[in-house]
Amino acid sequence: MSKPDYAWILKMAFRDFRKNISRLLLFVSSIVVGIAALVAISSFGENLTKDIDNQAKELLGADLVLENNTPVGEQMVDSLAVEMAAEVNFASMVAYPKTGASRLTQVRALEGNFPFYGVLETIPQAGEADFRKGGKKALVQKALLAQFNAQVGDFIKVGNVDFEIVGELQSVPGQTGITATVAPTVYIPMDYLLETGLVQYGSRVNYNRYFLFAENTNVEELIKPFEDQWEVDRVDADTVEDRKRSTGRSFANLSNFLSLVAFIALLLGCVGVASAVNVFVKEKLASVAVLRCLGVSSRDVLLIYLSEIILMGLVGAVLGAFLGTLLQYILPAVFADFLPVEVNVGISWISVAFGITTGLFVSILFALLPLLKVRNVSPMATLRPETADTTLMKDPLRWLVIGGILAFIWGFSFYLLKDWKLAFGFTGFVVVAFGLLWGVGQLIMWTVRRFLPITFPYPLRQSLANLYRPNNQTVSLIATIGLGTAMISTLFFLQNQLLEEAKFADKKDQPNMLMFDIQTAQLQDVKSKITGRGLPIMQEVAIVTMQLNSIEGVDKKENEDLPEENRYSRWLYNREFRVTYRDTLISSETITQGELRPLGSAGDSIFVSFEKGFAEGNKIKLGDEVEFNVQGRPIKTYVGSLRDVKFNQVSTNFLVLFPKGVLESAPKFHVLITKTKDDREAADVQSEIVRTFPNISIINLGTIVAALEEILGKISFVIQFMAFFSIATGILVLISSLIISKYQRMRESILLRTLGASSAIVSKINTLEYFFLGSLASLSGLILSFLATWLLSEFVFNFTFRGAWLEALFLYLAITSLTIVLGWLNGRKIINQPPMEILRENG
Amino acid sequence: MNILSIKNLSKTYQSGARKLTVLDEVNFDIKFGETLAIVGPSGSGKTTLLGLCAGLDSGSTGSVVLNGESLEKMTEDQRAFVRNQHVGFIFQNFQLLPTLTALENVMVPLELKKRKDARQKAQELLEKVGLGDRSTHYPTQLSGGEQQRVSIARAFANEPKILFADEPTGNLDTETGEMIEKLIFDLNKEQGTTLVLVTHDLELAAKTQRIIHIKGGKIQEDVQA
Repeated sequence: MSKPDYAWILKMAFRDFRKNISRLLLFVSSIVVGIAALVAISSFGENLTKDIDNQAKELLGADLVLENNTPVGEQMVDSLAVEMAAEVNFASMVAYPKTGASRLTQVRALEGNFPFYGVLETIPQAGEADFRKGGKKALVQKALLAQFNAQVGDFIKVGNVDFEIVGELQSVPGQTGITATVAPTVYIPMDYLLETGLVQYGSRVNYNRYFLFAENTNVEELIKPFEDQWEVDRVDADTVEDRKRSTGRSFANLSNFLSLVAFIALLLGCVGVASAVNVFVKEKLASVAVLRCLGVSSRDVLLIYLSEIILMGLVGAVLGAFLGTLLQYILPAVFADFLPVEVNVGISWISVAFGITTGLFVSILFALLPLLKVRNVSPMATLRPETADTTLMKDPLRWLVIGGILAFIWGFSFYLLKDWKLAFGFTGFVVVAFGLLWGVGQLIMWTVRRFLPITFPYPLRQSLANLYRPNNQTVSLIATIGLGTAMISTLFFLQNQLLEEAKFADKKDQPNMLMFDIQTAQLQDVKSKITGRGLPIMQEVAIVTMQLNSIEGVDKKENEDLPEENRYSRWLYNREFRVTYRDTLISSETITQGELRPLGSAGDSIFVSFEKGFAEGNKIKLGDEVEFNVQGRPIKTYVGSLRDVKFNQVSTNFLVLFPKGVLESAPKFHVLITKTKDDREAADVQSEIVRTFPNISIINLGTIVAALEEILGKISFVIQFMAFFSIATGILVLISSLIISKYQRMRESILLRTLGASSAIVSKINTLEYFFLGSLASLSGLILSFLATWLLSEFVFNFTFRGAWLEALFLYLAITSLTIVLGWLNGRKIINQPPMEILRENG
Repeated sequence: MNILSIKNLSKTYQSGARKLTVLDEVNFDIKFGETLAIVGPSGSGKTTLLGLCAGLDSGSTGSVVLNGESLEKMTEDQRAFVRNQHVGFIFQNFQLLPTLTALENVMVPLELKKRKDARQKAQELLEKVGLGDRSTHYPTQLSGGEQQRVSIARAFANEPKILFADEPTGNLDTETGEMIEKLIFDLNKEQGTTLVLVTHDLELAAKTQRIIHIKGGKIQEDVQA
């Protein structure tokens, strides 16, 4: 075969293109939203990375932070610092005497001019300076003031000390909106820490020392000589570079996850492209036969139409990239609660290029699937048009393209996830989701067709029959709108499930209040206060803190020398374990391996029980020797059992469980669990306990539910924002398919009107058709999302599945109504004009 | 000297377990410059025969030799090349490319032959068929008769050695049909092209030098007019 004459091919493509421009633009409109989402997220990620780099010092607030759960003390590096500051932070109840309310809060006792970079932003602005002047003054995060209706000038009680609020804290270095929701902050001066009486045995306290070095100091190099000693002392050193890396990594993961969601929207658009090109090709078969008849080779025919698709794909991708670049300007507002730095948006040419390349590539790949058909059109179709449409089932190139599509999905997800197994998982998810939607769509359509009673009124039968109209794209619409619906509804259902689960716990005989950090001397008094109100003590647990010395004889130092694959997590040796002792299981636990062995069951060996997930994640096996350091005393134990622990109950759950008879004499603190009748009683109990024992921290279920609602609200807003792209793509595919089939609908309507059907009947048929289309798409999506929610509830969250029927009904009605409205807007002209007028207008 | 030789040509379709023979052992030759009509009732196999003769399809058995080249061993793309070099077509339903203007439709075969003067030659042909002033019009802007005239101009554009016409007046009224017939025969005479017509219209068939009657896939009669 001779070489293709590209100039002529392009000329022919242009000639065809100029008459099809509006229709071809419709085809590619489906990918615009997906590309826009991809470019927006990618640009935003790029800019965020730059800003994290630029603002990393403000993120940390210092050049170096040393952190430990015991006082860090004087260090050799101190002498190299220009300035130092210290902070002790811990969670504690903070009371608002004006109202008597209290809340678990992150208390930060500060000494020195931290942060050295950035500021503690307050209202009034002078609040920070006032706070630093000394005295019993506090800076309180704005969310807390809003929650307790407090203001600057009021007092808060932290432990035994009352502090005057001198500033409403707007932002804390490195803190995001979401962390402020989970752990709102109060700053107090270090001078009064002891007086608060909150730092006692068992208190989970962090000690930070902040360092400022001379400008242009290479901190990484500077601290190298001290790192070994810090390792031994379990001191964690955090530099600006470390923070840059860790924050950058977290947000790269977030950005990749969001890109995957955007990619789903793009894939939906691609299904729209394939479906629209399929209609386009069917309409072109007669022309293809003529061209073949005139002597154009099958390759050249394919190249003519492919050139048009490439051009349109490019237009769609450029349009998407442009929209995405604009869209990223609103992303900082969408993600405001998750961002630790101020993001400066700007055009990211890398992201634009990435979006255009991806858009072009996927539109070609997906358009090729139906486009390959033109290669097989026989010139004989000029004489016998009915032979023009051929099947591609046996065409090896079709399978090659399908393979290419799967490879592309895998490759793209691998690029984002950097894990080939996860990429396979994602590809599998996409195939299964599309397959299920396609299957559900086909099944519903088959059922309707098979069992549609002939006795149904004509408009109903006609509207259902219209779903099978050639080129109607019913199944691809079900897939695109359905997947968008599935994403949004799964989110609704899961959110609802999580909240219901939390609320449900309160309705049964489940505990709903947990008090911790109770000192042994306070235990009896606290118990009497609880029982004095007629409330039950549902659990009383003693807790001993300890650290891990060695696993299977490997201590911290030896662990460092082990090859990477054999090494235990460094974190295991640095963390503080909070352990209890008992010889029985509680309701949230089940043994999965080994058995709970009391002391004395095998000589003097001590058998402990590890939580299954924790043990598996840290390479700890049944029978392993584990040595703990309990307040300076080494205790050798063996892993006697592994337990499955349900963490979704208000209960004390432990990673490590000791048998009775080992830890009784060790210093310990206590946790009590009770159940109050309602939120009011919970507030009363909390207020009384905090007033008498300010060191005791209390969590009640009401607070957890409120925090959960707030966090889920923030997360779900982001996910809804991302799911919007899929829905928007679905709508574009719907609009494009309605316009493509407009002429066919027009002919049908004219025929019906000519035969004497009133415009009311035609309108009824059209409305019913859109109703069925919307219903099929939304129901398919809802079925898929119920399945996904059930699987997630059953196998990930260990919940009992409860369907969010009301939300499902709302989504169903919303999507179906939208389809009807769009359909009606598209067809209103046909209904209202006389048939002859339409015929004349459209030639 | 023959432009077309058909030897033992058969065409069979398999429909499930059923075998359907549309053409059965057909033999004939056509000389250069000859005009010939294939006539027969609907379903007799005349359109299939035309398609095979023109290399639009391949027979199940037998051979088709067009301008000295045997078509049955060629690939579809090789046959496409032969069509472009030697064959012209006129169809009952005109088969113009709807996205191309009248002029561009006529230019296609010329451009495929890489003729530098494609535009000029196409314009001349349109003038010849009386549509010089309609060259920028799209097919939907032309009447049936005008579309068929464009189709004739396109068919003669590559100066074919043989022209196949499938019911060229089938979709036209009598008056327009007669005008189209005249145009085909005049241009055919002018260019010395071989003409093969498929038609129901015995009056039109009678204008050719030779008539082949076909029925049930077999030649019933081959007569010189």
